[in-house]
Amino acid sequence: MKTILTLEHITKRYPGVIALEDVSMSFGVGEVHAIMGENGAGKSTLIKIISGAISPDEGRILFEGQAYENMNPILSQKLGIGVIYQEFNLVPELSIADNIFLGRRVTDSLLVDQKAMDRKAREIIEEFGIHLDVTQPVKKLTVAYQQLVEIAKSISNQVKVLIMDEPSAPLTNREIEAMFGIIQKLKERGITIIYISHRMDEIFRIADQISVMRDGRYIDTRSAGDISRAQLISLMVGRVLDQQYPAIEKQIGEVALEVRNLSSTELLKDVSFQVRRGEIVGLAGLVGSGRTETARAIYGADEGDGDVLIDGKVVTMKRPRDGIKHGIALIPEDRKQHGVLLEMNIRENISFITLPSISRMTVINRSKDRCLSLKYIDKLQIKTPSPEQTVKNLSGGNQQKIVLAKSLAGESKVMIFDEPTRGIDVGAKYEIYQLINRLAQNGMAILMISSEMPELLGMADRILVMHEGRITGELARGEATQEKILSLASGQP
Amino acid sequence: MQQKFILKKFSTVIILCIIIAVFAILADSFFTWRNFINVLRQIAVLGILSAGMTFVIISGGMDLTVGALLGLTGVFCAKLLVDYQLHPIIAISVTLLLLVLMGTCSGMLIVKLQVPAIVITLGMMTVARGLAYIISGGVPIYKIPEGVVFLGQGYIGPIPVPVITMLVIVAFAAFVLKRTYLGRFIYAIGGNEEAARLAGVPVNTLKVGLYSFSGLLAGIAGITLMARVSSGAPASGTGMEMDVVTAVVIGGVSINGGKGTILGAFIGAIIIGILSNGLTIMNIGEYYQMVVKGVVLILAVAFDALSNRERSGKFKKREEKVT
Repeated sequence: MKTILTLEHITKRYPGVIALEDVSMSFGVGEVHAIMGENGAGKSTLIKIISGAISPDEGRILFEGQAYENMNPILSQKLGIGVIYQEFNLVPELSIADNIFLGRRVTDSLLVDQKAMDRKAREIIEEFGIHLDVTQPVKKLTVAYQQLVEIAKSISNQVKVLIMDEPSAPLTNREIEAMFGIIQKLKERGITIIYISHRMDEIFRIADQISVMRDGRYIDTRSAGDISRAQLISLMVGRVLDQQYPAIEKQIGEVALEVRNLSSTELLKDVSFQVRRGEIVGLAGLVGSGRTETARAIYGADEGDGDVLIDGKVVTMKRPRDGIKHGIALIPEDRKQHGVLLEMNIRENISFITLPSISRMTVINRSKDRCLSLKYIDKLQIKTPSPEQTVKNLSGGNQQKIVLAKSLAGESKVMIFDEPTRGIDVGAKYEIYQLINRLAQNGMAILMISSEMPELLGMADRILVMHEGRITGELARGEATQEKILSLASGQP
Repeated sequence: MQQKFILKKFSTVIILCIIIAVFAILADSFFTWRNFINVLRQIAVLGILSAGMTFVIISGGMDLTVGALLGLTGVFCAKLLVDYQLHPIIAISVTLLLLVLMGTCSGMLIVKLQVPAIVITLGMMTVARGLAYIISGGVPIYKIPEGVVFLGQGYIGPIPVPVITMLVIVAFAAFVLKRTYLGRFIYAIGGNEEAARLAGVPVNTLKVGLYSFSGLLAGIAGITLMARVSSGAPASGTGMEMDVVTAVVIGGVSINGGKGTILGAFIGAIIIGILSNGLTIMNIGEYYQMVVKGVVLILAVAFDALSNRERSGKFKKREEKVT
């Protein structure tokens, strides 16, 4: 098989973290090449480097034998590399034809030849055996057809290597079948498909070659026919657990939080579980499995059917205020968007949730305000010269501590952590683990959503695993292994 | 670095001082006690409206109705006083109630429909102006009773009543924004609405309340204006909303929300007042004044934008996420 794209010794570093380390891979002409790996393995970074959206710190890209050290999006597109991201790059109000030819000229004249554009667009789509009115705005299409428009866009660009990032995520089973048909047709034309997905069934059906990445490193490539599911999981997960997690003695008490038959129209199906005082329950699963949705539904940030019980009593959760009132704290997944108030300073952030309790007739008691912030800066070891420092300028680790302080100041009984150490350097991670453990020791009931296996295995007393909105399994501390978690998360019992 | 920070924080005050200095040198009768009182009285209505607008803009919204509400207030109150011979206290109370209702209406439409505030308040502004013309039959209503005229033309000691009204309102607004938790909530909504919601802030209720408050303040300003000119004129306040936004932005309130202070907005209003006062004393015509006002606004925001850009550039580098 002739090679069309090769990556040589690609390394990409970010402050505190190595996203890709010495990755070398090659892709053949006309093959469907899947890249698999857990959350955080480096797949997205790899795509961005191939497309030129970011530059590697070391290494180079060879395309059709030619070496490139400074790939950029315009160049990659000209060479014939196309990417279909999870969030499509379509303009909703423009027509299918306009989107396919977005930013490009169809004819030589200055004026737009709408008829020519429409005609060419129709031709491309009909090659897939599909008939669509190309003049209709893209926002009217279902997600599956929108994806088709993205594919057509790449085709019109004479794509040779098409990268698809989790293409089946928004599709129904029937639509996935149709997409496979299209991929087959692309293959027949000699187009290379790089297929990024978590879904093992699909990978085994559609891929010729499967490459595995783990922790920013390239592990191996095997033919789809030559490897079993179990072996694949082993490759994806097989790492040595070398990070120490603080060990503690603690008591586990009664049930503090109980969730019964939690469902939502979009994703969650019949989720039920309990968390006891002093217990750390891990919630594992792949992206899109419903973990964050579960957390938000419990907290009242999103709508959901089913019951939430705090200390045995059913409570209504319709908005975050309800969650706060009943003693639930949520440390959100995206701290910059939802956790901290970036423009305000540390003191204002820490006291935010508890403002009514340190105020009299709405007037804030300034000394209580200041005391509160100093107390938590000390308790959580937040590194700052003063509480008046604007939060925007702090490091990720410190910002996460502030989100924590904000919730702690509110004196909750149940804390839900959504990816508590994402994007945080190793030192700060350890501090956060210690804090979480101390909270558990003091009787806090903790639900910890995490995509990092070592973290789950090191911290959780029990691990619940979710897959496509359901809880597929529960593993106790002693019996949990990375393989078992990943199997359950991939829907393999 | 320290110096730049100080410069930024006090930039509004510095601009004010420079302008005062320039006029003090160029115009004779400018730098007198009497003239300063003049300026304050001239901007009383603007100052009151700026307080309400500051709240709305910091929360991420916009209220274009305030100018039209001035006119509506004037004719409605005048009609009650003159045509229906109502007691001033009743007339004023009913008028203020109407204004609060108008503000609440704007607020509810914005929150429920999730349409940009600019669009809703633009519509409400036109409705209010139309109502003002309808109620008044297109002409001003005269013969406002003495007791009410005092509110616009009277003095308490050496200070004109409108100035006192303005100072009381500005002080109250500043206190609420700075020292109460409602104030923090307002900044939070403007800075990051979702984070505020997740933290338990009653976002929708508070947003509507801010528009109601803006309506109330427009009512108070409108009555002051009516008393000042001894008539309820339907055309009152035409275009005023633009002046209010200008004042507030010069004063450091960010159009995007989340930043700014009442004091800053107040200084912005003073700057506008002094500009027009100084230029008039120097016999510079109204049209030239408009140009100057516009230029000062652009300079003020340019300074703010440029000094922010450096910071956000650094911020972007640290921001790259790991996947």
